[in-house]
Amino acid sequence: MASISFRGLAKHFGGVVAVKDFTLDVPDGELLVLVGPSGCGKTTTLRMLAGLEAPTAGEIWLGEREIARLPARERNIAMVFQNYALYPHMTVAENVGFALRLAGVKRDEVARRVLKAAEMMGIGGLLERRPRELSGGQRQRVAVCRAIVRDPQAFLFDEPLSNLDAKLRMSARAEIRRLQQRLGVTTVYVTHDQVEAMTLADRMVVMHDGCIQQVGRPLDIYARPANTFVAGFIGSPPLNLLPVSLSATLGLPQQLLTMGSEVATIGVRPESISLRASDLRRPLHLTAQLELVEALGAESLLHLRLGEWPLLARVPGTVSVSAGDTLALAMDGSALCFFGNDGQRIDDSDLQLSLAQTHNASVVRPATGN
Amino acid sequence: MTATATPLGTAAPLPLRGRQWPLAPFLYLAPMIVLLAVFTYWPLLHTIYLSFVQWNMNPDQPMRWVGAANYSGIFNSPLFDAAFRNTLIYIVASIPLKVLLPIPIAIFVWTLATRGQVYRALLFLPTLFSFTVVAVVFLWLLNPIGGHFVQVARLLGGQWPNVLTDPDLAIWTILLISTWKVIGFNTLLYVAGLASINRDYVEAMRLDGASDWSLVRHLLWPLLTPTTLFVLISTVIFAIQQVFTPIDIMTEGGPQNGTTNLFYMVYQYAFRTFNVGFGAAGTVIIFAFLLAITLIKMRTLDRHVQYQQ
Amino acid sequence: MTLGTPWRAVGHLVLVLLCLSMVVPLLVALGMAFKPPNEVYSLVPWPQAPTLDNFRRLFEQVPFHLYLWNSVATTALRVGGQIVIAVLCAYAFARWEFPGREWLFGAVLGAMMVPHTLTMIPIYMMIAELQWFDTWRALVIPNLAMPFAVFLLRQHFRSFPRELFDAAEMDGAGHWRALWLVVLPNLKPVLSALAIILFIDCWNEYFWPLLVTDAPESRTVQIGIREFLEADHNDFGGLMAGVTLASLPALAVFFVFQRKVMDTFVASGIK
Repeated sequence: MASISFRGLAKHFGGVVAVKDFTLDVPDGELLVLVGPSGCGKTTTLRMLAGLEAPTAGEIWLGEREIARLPARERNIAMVFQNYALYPHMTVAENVGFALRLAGVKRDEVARRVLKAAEMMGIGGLLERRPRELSGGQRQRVAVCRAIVRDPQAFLFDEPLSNLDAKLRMSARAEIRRLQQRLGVTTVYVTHDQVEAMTLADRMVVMHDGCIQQVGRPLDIYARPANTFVAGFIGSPPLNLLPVSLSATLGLPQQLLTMGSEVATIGVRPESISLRASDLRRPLHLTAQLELVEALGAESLLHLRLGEWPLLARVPGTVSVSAGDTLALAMDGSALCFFGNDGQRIDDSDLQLSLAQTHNASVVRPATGN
Repeated sequence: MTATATPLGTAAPLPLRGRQWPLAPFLYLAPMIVLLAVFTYWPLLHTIYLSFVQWNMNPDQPMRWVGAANYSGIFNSPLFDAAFRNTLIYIVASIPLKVLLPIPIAIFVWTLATRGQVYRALLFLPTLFSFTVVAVVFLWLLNPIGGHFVQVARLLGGQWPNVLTDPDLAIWTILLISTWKVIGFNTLLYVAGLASINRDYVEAMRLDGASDWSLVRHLLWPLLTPTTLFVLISTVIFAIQQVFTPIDIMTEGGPQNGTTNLFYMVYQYAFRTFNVGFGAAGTVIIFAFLLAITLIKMRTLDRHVQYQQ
Repeated sequence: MTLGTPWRAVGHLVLVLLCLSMVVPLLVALGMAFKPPNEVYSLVPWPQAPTLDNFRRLFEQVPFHLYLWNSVATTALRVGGQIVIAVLCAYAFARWEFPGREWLFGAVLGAMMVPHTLTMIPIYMMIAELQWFDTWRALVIPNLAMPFAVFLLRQHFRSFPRELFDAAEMDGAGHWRALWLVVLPNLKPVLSALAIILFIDCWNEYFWPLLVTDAPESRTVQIGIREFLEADHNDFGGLMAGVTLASLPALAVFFVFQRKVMDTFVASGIK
């Protein structure tokens, strides 16, 4: 049980900077997810925390200890690897108990703790098997079991679900969440799958090019992404990013966009777009060409075109449209995000206020054909 | 919460102190490196030096620098003539017997696949036994008084010559015995080489209508060239170094230097007559000989070696 | 590839003859070891009245038990040492990046190219100076470095999954314990194969023991056979007894490890 603090952690490989100035506090018991595309530095950061990679600069604090230069085995941290890294020549029981035996724990004590951890993970019956006799899901559980039996101060997960099939991934995800909450151990979890990140994290760290882009609770990041990268990365499907030149087409009053800092990009959530006919409350009106419909059952994804710009909308599955139609759409103004020339989100409380005023004004306007 | 890329108010980032590179690998390598330095690389240099001195292994007598006198001494000695000539005979005669002959045998064994297991096991047998044992067993079989060869010849109404005391026959006897020792192993090397040939090539050729002979000539032989080359080099080295054992046990280089080779000559100089200078010069000559063969091989044969895509 | 019937018959004939020629001399020798003197010249390979007398005479004429013991001890020490040193070396090259790695690797493998003929005289001189004649040290130490073994091991070490190193590190095993507890148990087939090759190579060695041992008590079994031959060149029964004893260990090691190698091949599979 310990909190983790990163101070100016950095890693250079020759001329390449993998991690730039990573600074963050992780309170005790939190499940922190590092998420980002390949090469963003999340795995390198995790490995530096584990002790498998030596930092070029910076400090890492685990509880009261500064551990950045300690060898991995002295850090009291356990890790679950992407390919599970189970020792092929040992049984499950030996795999799980390996670290304890290395630490000199007595054999019966080891057996007791292994059994307890195995039962918690539901693999009590597999203890005498070898890794090659297990399914992918079972191996994943053994890998997690190996981590929890050590009763460490922190858990590290390196994309542990990426080798599982989709259905198994969902149930494994939930299990990990429940386990972490039950044990209350500070956890750092790395994934490139933003759905996984959103569902697991107490707090999420979005990374790109070695830098932290945004830190926060998943829903906060979702609602108010810090910049265009985060906006385009989080969400499935992700935010539509449109240039400000389309503001008129979107039905946005021109004056709004010259208030405060200059707006360069407008972010539109796919679920904030609907058919005008079905949602009269949405104030902003626009027209777009439908190119493709992806019918997923509960909902449908409409691939639209606004002039030459693609637009994605998320509508209930019951909506009936066909490719080639010209659709009349409505948009919710309060779900918009505005980004400046530097890609950073512009604090939009003023804009929102103005939008609301305009909205109220527009309600009394008679509805037109388009 | 928005992103922060600037450090908080606490300590500024500290650069990593201490070693850039790990020490451990050097410790792991140390035994091997030290042993190689002491027992391989240094002696290599020392031998070259020794080839230019004269010494008789007596610690009380100093070494005397004689320049190239050792080399001229060796080249002018009749022992060298015999040794060199025999070495050439060993090598040249070994090629058809140990390098080429195993190939058709291997091809046949390969076509038998798993049914050839017994053959493969038996072919491997001579490899397990030491050359000493082999030499001694053949000493008995070739014994002019009661050996099996003599008796069988007598039964057939003929006569078995005393092969080991005949200056012309002795070398061929040793050659045949050494062939017996390695032909099985070489055959298995070729079988392994054949086994690594992708079956698809064979199928493709068959479909194109190739006969057995075509298959051998256009597919098997070319793809066996790496193995052939390997066997060739091993055989050359074998003909120089390993033949020592039967030579020493059966004939001790005789009769009348009929079976000696360059290596045995060096042994006699260095460790029998304790002429260190001649011995060292002899080893350098052997090395130069091997180098020459390697260069010839590289120039002529390496070009024809085919590897699978 | 199938062959026509006449070719197949010829092929089998040739192979049968060849294999017979391999087996018959060995069987003759084995039979001779148990034949009483009056049967020695009989063409029949097996003895009608088997006896252990040849063995008795063998041990009386020369201290064959000492030869065997010297061979066993020096071979065990040497092969054990060769494997350990080669394993450490291959591990270092596989696990770490360090300056000069490629160059050192080249130096190790390059040593394979240096023929023994080139180094034997100075090594002999070293043995003389250190007064190591007639000792196990002379037989074992100069031959402990085996670049060939590193060559054989390198591929297996290189393809070892790196994640297992990380996992071992996290579990608390430093590089030393990881080598013995995690890496080597998964390399049993190649280690067995290496052990067989090195064992046979050492046990059957003739030249080097001939050079560095002189006193009867310190000779190895291969030289011992020669000693017996010189002591009595007419006692072929005793000679074959010696030959039989000298060949048993190599055969035994081969069969034992062969099965272990096969077993591990069948059962293994790194994830």
